[in-house]
Amino acid sequence: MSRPAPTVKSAAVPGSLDAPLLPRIALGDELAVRECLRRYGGLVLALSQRMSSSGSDAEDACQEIFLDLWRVAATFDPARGREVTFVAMVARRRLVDRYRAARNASPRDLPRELVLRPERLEAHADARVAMAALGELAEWHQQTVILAACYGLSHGEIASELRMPLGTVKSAIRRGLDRLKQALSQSPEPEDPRHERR
Amino acid sequence: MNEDELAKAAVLLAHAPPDVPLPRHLERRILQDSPPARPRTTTTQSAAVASGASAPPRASLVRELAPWCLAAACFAFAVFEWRSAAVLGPPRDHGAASAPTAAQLSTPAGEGGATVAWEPRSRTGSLRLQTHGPSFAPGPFEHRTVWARSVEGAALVLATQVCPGACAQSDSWTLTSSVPLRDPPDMWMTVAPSDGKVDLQKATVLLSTRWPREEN
Repeated sequence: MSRPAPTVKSAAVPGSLDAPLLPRIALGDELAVRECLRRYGGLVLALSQRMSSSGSDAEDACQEIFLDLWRVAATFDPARGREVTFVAMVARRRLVDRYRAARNASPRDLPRELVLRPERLEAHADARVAMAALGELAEWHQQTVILAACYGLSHGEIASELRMPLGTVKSAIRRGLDRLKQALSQSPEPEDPRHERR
Repeated sequence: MNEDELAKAAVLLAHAPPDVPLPRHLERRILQDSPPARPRTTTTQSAAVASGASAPPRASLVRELAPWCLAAACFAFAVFEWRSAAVLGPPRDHGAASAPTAAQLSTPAGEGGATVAWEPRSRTGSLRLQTHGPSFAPGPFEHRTVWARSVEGAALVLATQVCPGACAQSDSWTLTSSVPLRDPPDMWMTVAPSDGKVDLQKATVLLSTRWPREEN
């Protein structure tokens, strides 16, 4: 009596009207919890695997991220951002903490692919905005922003890894994030779920 | 949700690898610690937000609100008790609480007296004072004043009576206090000569709940 494995992609239907789940989760809605796992589980696990040293480590990180998400679900404001971006924000905090701890314990090489990934652009509106805002930047400039935003590296670490002057790295990251924040503020209103394509 | 963090999250989304299926065992692990399965610590979301989808279980809401309601009731009771103790004086003992509605005033020699009665658990508002004995035969031109001590220690005038006119009409007075009185009431009655005007400097104490009086 085995049930089919959950399909992560099933929720990622372009143009689907996915109402926010976190407010319902904050109220204890178990159905919303299951739907949240179905909707974001694949994304969170993928992010966890990329920044973890092993499969079990990635699963631990994934579990911790969802625990964090249940804890802060009540703070999500649909008027201030898209839910998937909020989930990514919570995931980023946890993954950066774990990544830093792992790097301190045993120095690790930087990830090889420090590029924006076009396969995400169809799925997430904010990813499209990020691509539009950062895609025109030089490759090294994109790398500084990715290392700071996704891996939580300090300016000094990025300067050292990329062998660039610290001041250049600092200003590049600042300009990149400012450019992105401006683009996000001009993107369609996040509370309208029709603007979110999963 | 500050702008800086949201911008970094957007970069993370644009840099994210393709989704991978969530293994069933990991899903079970996560569900074990999901909000409905563990004690909740925070919920203050408007119900309107939740109304767009399936309604949250009412039982969990009741379970969650019950301790808060209980705590609020305990707090309200504690405030009530504190107020009673602070404003109305210390609580009476059990024996006194059963019938503490009367106290006796008497003359120094005990040949006359009065009984003052009040509503149980109320030391403000209406009190009833009934005099008896030969000392209360209406004298010529007396000004009688009934005093009481408030919980703050102030002497209050509860009623005045001009004799012989008022004294001859009734030996029962209705007294009114707008502030809380000591419990049991610390009351006394003074008599002053009155021949057109009252000279309280010449007033003498006729009745008291504690005789001889320790204080003026």
